[in-house]
Amino acid sequence: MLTLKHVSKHFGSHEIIKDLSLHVKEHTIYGFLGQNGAGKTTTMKMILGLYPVDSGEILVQDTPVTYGETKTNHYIGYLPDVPEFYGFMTPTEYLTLCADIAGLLDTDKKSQISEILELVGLIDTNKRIHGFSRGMKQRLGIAQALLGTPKLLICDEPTSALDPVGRKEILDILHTAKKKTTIIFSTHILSDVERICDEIGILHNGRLAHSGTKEELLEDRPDNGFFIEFQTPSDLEKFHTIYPEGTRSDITTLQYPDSKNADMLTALSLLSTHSIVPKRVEQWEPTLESLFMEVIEK
Amino acid sequence: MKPLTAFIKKEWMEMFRNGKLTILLILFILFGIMSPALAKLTPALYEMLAETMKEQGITISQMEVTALTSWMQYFKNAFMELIVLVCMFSGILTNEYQKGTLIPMYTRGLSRSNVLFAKFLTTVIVWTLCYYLCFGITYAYNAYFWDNSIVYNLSLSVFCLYLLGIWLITIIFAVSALLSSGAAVMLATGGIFAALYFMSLIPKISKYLPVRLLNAGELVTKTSSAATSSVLTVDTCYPAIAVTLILCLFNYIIAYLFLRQKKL
Amino acid sequence: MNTELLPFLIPLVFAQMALLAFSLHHILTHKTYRRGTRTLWVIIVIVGMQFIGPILYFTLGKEDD
Repeated sequence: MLTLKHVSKHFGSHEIIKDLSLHVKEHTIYGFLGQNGAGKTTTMKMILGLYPVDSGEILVQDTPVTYGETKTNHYIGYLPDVPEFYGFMTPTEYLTLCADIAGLLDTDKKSQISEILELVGLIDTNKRIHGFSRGMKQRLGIAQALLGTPKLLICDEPTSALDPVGRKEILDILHTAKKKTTIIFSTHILSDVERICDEIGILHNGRLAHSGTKEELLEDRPDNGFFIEFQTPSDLEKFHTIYPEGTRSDITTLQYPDSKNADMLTALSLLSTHSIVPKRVEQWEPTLESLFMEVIEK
Repeated sequence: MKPLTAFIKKEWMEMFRNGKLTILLILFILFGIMSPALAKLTPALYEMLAETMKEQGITISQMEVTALTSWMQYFKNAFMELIVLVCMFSGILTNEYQKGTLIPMYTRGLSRSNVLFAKFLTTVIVWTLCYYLCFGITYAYNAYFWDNSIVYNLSLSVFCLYLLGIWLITIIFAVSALLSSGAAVMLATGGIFAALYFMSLIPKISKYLPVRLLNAGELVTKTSSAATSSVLTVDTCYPAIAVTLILCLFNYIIAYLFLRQKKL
Repeated sequence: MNTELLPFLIPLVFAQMALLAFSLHHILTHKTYRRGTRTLWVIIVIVGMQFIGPILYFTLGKEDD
């Protein structure tokens, strides 16, 4: 579907992308992970022909991408990191404009537009885009990107500016869209990747530091410690005397920052033998940084 | 063809909905009324002036107002019209890059030449509409109060100013392909105009410069063949018209070439 | 003033009122401006109501939507 061969790119003296090669298979969701400034947006803009490539080659459906105007964009839907639209239009008018530009046939234009607006939950919105919230704009951005059923959907940080509810909505929409298209999406949030990606590539210092399936990545995931929240401070006291590990973070919470999963099992069995019912026991989410350290060390 | 017409439609929707067209039409109607109104007021002003002068012992002969007075006023206002044009359209391309609204259009397959053409066409039509509306209003007033037949070369001189507007529009587009903010485009366009204005002080080249067309008002009075070279006549205005047309084409090509390379 | 001026005055006043009303309506229905504040723009548009005020507002103050 999409192949990058030894692609390099620099801005001034700063090398953003160094000899990047990757391949995305059809009908997969490819998560493109990387810290801010790792070169995710640059890579995406090169795939879209919005930035020229210094060396190397990009192929979309075996057709090479050229800078400026590129034929390959007919197969691609793109959601920019901060989507901006014409504020004086309504969503339907905007999508009609996009459909006309993409050369969609009149016969299926109307039905497709209403279908897509239904999918992103903007079907009853007749006000102008001017007054839209961030989340609504993001959803309209996806609608715009999905129009014309592109073979490849490129989303640049679709979830980063949204609250958890908005984020879940967007991920659900992407998951639904997977049936029809291949999706590449970039993020710096690990849990987004865990939720929907099949394949993952980690971009670090302009190189692909790691690539593989989600399962492979999760195996590499470091144990990150956990915490126990008790219902009362006296429960905490009782447990802390039985199992004198961990530190107090507040009057009802004990934390175990550097412990392994085995320690969590010990703690759980101790809780059950002494019949202490905690409010919750939770593993900390590994941060992207810790995952990087793990991946890079290997 | 479909992408182009769709984008032209978007441009017009923008003109209507963001109020630009309304404001331009009202302004140009005002300009159209102003010239004959000022001409009509001239005798009254003269009378007031004459009275104060009489007290000082100077007599001023009664001034006769004709269609010519009104047309001279019209050509004086034209500079204001050009300023309004540049102010209103200087952001036509840069606003889109600054907000990033063109990116979804480009990635959808709209070509850059189509963007340029759609915007250029829209701007030219709006300018034509506003400019000739203003002209029509002045013409109608002048015909009603006085006699338009006493002025010479009216359509040519009015066309000269119209062409000057078209030339400024092509400069806006050429400069917009190079710069990235509307204010910078406005300043650069003004700067180019000012530079050419100063160049026109050099007698040898002045007759070939587009800014020469700003003196189009000089065409409407009958000048004798002995007129000095500094006065624009029917014969001397054609080189400037030809150069302006060539420059318009040149600017459009510059705009196209640089827009194609522009990084978004 | 003679009645001859009426054909000018009526449309002139009408157009000027339309310009003023349109500009004020635009200012009051928008919350944010590219530069300046609402009070500032209302004052500028009223003081320069001949046409300078509205031109200034629409070129410098109006936010693109």
